[in-house]
Amino acid sequence: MRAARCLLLSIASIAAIAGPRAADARNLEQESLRAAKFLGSWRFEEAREVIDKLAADEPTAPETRYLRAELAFLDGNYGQAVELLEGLKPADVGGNVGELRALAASTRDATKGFSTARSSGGHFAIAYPPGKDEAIVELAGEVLESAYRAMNEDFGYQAPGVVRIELLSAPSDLARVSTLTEKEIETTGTIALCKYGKLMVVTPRATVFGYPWMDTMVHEYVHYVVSRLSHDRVPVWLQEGLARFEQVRWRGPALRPLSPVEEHLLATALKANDLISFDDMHPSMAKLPSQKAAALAFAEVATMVAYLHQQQGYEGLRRIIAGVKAGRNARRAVADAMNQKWDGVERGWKQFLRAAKLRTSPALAGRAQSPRIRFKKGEGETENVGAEEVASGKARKFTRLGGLLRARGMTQAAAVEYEKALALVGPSDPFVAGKLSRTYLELENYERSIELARPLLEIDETDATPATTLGLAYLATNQPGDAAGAFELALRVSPFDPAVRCGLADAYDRLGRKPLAARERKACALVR
Amino acid sequence: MFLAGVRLRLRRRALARSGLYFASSAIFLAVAAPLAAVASGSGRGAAWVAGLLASLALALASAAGLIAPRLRWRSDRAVAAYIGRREPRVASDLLSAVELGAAGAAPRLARGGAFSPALVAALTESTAMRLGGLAATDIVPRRPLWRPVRAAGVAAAFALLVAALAPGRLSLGWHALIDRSIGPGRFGGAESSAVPLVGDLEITLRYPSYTGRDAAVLANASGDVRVVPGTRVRLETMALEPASAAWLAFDEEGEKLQPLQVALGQLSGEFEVRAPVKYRFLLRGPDGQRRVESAARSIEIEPDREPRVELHAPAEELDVTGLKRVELAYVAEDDYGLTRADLVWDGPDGKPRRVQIELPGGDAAAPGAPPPRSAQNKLFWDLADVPLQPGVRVAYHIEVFDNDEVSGHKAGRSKVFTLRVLSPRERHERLIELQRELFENLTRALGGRLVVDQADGAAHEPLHRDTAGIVVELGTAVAALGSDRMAEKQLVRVLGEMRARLDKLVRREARLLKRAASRGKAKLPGALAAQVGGSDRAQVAELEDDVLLMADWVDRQDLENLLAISDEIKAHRERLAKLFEEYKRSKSPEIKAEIERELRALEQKLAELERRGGRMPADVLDQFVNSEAMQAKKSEDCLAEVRRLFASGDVEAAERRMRQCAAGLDEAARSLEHSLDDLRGDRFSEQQKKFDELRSEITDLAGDQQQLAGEAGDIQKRYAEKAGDLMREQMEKNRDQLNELLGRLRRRVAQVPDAGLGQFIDEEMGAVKARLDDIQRLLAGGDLAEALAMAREAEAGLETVESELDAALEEDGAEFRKLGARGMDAVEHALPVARKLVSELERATPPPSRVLEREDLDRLERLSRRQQALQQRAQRLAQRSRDIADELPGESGQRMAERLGEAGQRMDRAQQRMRARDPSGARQEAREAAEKLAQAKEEAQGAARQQQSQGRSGLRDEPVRIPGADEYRAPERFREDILDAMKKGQAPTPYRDMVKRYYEELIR
Repeated sequence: MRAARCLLLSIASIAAIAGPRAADARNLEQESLRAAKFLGSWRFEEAREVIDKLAADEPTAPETRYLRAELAFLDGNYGQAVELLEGLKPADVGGNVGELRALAASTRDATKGFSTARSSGGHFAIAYPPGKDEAIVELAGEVLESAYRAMNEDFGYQAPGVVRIELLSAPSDLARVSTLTEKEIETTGTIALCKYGKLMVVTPRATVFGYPWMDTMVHEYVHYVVSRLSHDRVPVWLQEGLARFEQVRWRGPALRPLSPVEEHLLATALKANDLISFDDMHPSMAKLPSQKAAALAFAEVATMVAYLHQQQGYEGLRRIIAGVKAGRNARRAVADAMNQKWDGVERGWKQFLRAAKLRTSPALAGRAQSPRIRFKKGEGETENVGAEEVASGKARKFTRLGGLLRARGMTQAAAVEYEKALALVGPSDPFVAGKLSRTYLELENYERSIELARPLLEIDETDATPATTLGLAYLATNQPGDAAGAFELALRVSPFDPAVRCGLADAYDRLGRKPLAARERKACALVR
Repeated sequence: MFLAGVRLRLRRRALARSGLYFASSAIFLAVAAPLAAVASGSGRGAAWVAGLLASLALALASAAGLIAPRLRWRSDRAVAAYIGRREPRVASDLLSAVELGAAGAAPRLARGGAFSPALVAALTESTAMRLGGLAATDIVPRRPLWRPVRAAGVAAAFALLVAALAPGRLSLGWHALIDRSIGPGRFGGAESSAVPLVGDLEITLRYPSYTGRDAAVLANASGDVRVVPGTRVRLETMALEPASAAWLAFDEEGEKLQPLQVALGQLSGEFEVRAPVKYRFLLRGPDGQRRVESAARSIEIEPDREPRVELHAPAEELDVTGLKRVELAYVAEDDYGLTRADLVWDGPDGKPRRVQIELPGGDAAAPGAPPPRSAQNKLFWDLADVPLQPGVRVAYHIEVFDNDEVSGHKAGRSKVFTLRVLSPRERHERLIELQRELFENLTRALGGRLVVDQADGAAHEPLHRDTAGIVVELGTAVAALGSDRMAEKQLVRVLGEMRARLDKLVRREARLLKRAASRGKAKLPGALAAQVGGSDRAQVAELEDDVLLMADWVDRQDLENLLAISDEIKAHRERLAKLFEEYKRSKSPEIKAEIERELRALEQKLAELERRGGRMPADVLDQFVNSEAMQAKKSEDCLAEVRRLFASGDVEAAERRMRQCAAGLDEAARSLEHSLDDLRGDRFSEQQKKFDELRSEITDLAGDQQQLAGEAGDIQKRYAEKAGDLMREQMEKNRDQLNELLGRLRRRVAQVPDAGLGQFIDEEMGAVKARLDDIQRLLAGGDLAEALAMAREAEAGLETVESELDAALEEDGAEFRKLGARGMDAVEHALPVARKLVSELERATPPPSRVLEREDLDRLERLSRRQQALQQRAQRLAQRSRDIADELPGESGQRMAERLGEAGQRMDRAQQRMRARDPSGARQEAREAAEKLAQAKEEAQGAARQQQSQGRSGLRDEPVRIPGADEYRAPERFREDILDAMKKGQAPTPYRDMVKRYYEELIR
């Protein structure tokens, strides 16, 4: 919507320097300004009305053509958007034509050949590249429909039209359809965006370990809802806080906003008085210098919203959004909702954090320092991806050796090396314990495998490795109920792992849940 | 009555039609049969066939003209139906009347109960009346006879034509057909004649058209000839005894007889020869007596030989660095003509690949021109067009095809040569592969050792053998890496040490296993098992370290290798940039082709980069290589766009896009350099730490030097301003002389070639020219002091170019040598003029001690002391770089030491200039010292990974040439001269005998 703001400025400046002109021209300027203003504030329906009228009255005016192209772009008709801009100069309409044309063309290319599926409730249209990604389309629809209902409950918002979601094949595609660079995406682990009135999500298939893609998609939908409710006036930090807090609402109440890794990060930063300021989170979390910094910022804003929610409930959150929409500064809106000054809110939040007795987990220190999302970059062996998370150098050495041996099928020897590493770092190290647990699974030592993996899942439920191992171990020991539970957790993170989809199909089969088993069997065939 | 009349007409018409068709066939046979008899040489055979065909035709004509119409029109009903079809108005009534009137109709109708004879009679009558109005000629028209009449006409016309054109042949054929005198037995039972039956022969040879040879007439010939397959031989002779008929009797199977024309004792005949054959004359006297010659005459075949081709290549087994063009030359010959030449090489799948190459005078020749009998040509085989696997030997040869249209085009093959694309990088890659294998073996050894039971003596045997094998492999690797200039010295040392440690452990284990074997038990006793267990633990500890060490080195070299490919990509890009510039200027098709070639080469390199990058372990890519470094795919798309734009003729847009691609590639290369730094920092932290520290100190030193140069520059500026004011008058006096000197220098400098001397020299010459422009401007403004400074810079630049050219001339190939020598000559002439200009300017410029204020002189003094301190720092750093060179990555230590040494020399000179109170010289030397320091830091990055020079990036990528390629032309020229002489029938004197012999060989 930044482009729309630019348009607003450019049309305003053109109008300012144009001086008195014919009435028609003035009308065109005024209406274009109105349309641009509506587009910039996510009031798409109102913008459409104005643009339709402009198209009838002044169909050939560059402003009209640009605005129609903008609408076509927002509707996902990228080819049409490019066509509408044909013949216009890049510098037209304050230079917006060139920008939009480049963006529309690259988006058209990045989404070429995509199929589109509607969610069961019909509120979401999911565009995806045909092939393996089909394995998550139905699931994505279900999750989003559930989020749709939750957002209605919490904020009283129901999207008036169909919300478009684009499932992209690689981070490079996300860079092509947005203004982010690949470096920024990689540095911050940005995997999804809510922009241009749609959600853009990189498929978990593009990552080595997967990522909590269901929560992420809902996270982006919360952004969509907040932008629509507030006419896109809520600042980034508050947007992220709300999204982070609400991203789990599709599966239950928002009770625990932090993962153990985030808790560790926040606790460490709080102790060292090294919190990221709310100002530094502007203009985007994606611009923060590292994935670690981004994770800490997310943790901060999530806890701030959790604090506000604890104090004022959803009613308070609605008041804050309404206040910002009405033009109040976000801090002021928050302070008003809390009936105190901003300093007081900040103090209250820090007290809230201290009262929460955030825990630091030394075993997670390495993980907290490392990027959580690992993008696939080649076809080489992946066994040691993430081994640098292991904090102790000596343990890291044994872990690497374990990985090298395991990748070459020397499982028993690998277990020996992993055991050496585990002896140095203890069973709570998620990487070492996770690898060892999987190795024992392969050696059919299910008891030891479960013993190692179960605590890991309690520490970090967004780690698909122990969840998958547990699922397989439970299946092997004929505990389909537990297996299904573990696989479902893994599914939230790593839906393209054949072990997860095929294992889940087996577990559902054994539990007699036939429709779900059929869905997973189909997905299993797709991802295998 | 009416029906009978129609029936009769129908039958007659059918008879006429058949008769006409039969007549056509008979006429045709009457002409074709004798011709066939002549062509086949068998009158009897032809007569049989003709008789058979004539009988068949007669039978068909009888059947179609007599029998079939009689049967078909037998019944009134059939005739009535025919009339009904011709006259539909009466069809129904006529048919009814005929049926009702038929004898058998009455009972049938009576059974139906509706019989009325009166009605039948009435119907018959009315029908007869209606038929009365019809003419039988209308009912049975003659029109269908036109077609057979036409056929007979055509046959008659054909017969007349043949009779008019070849009456003799026709008559001969008929003779052969009807002659019943040839009986059974050899040659039809003819009597053998010991003496020749004919006199001398006149033989006319009409060669196949593809040979391009004129018809040859051999007078007074014996009849023995040698011909090319497909030649038509005509014989003419005089019968030595009266003959009413004559034949040529061929000895081949079936004893074919070919009739000859006989006219007043003169015999003649013609036949085609495709294989060797023997023949004799057979005559029939007026008395019917037949005699045949007992001695056969022979026609031999002169083979159309396969074309011959000789291939010349730079070497029989050629190793090529990079995607070069290889110069090939060939000389091909054929008896009659060459039509095509192909270069053939083995594809990666073992199947041959071929590409047609230019054959001078071949396809490209003017239509109708005869194909060349010999051809020689040079070509450049562009390896960028060929998907060659680095390191794999590829066999290639040339195939040429002749123009034999009779037996089919024959191919001639040259000797097979082989080629291998193998640059130092690719050679190094093979060594990395060797290390990878070593790593795999070490890992396998570790895996086995980790789980072996210490008491199991038998299980230790294979493990022991594997580890002993690794010791040998390590020795091999050390030896191979020792001679690889891209291999890190430290790696050689590390592997050598690893080998020594493992060897020691293996020896110890060997002793233990020997003892275990002497016990002869499957399970080792406790004490020995404990000792073996101890050995296992020691080996595990060693192998654990070795596996990781090896993995780190392999990963590092893989990354360095990616950077080496990236360097090659950069070299291609730089060439492309120049080529685009040149193409915009010249629009030369040669440059266009070169651009297309470079684009292909670049695409190949990018594909290689992507392939190799993608194969690296994911943890290395994940931890050290960011996505910006892995842009090969994106760049490939970008280049495809450049290609498209260039092909569409939009050179400007293509160049613009190329610049964008280049920017992306530069960014990727920088990212990759950082990745390598990060990997070294993590896996080789000590080494990288020392390297980073040194670079950091050099950066600091360069900063300080830069500052000092700036301060010297400020003093020079003040001096120049004051000198300018003071010397304005002096300037006016010297202006002309100085301008004249400057003009002379410009002319000399202009003689140095603009391009093709290498990027560095080109840039340096650009800087020299810029300095000359500065001098002109400064002289015009009366700024003598600054002009002097610029003149010194120009002089220094020329000196640099001189030394660079000197070095390059020793290294480069013949092509560069020519250009380089021209450049050297021009520089050697320019330098004295530059020195003269400097000395004149020095003479004309007041000494700084006179012009500068005390304060500045003191400043210069202080600067000289600071410069001395900086020089000492540079010396210390250079010394340290040398001292710890072995602990630094690649050759970075040595390179830094060299550059620091050079910077130190400049600093020394700067210091001297400062002491001599020469701010201009001081500034220049101080600046150059700073540049050398910056260079030290920059080059260290590349030297740390053994970066290879990518050579000169002139406009032309010099191909691999054939040594002494010009020498083989002389003999080929000689051969061409002979052939030319033959064509013209005028041989140069020295070749006359040879031409004669050649012709003799043709017609022996």
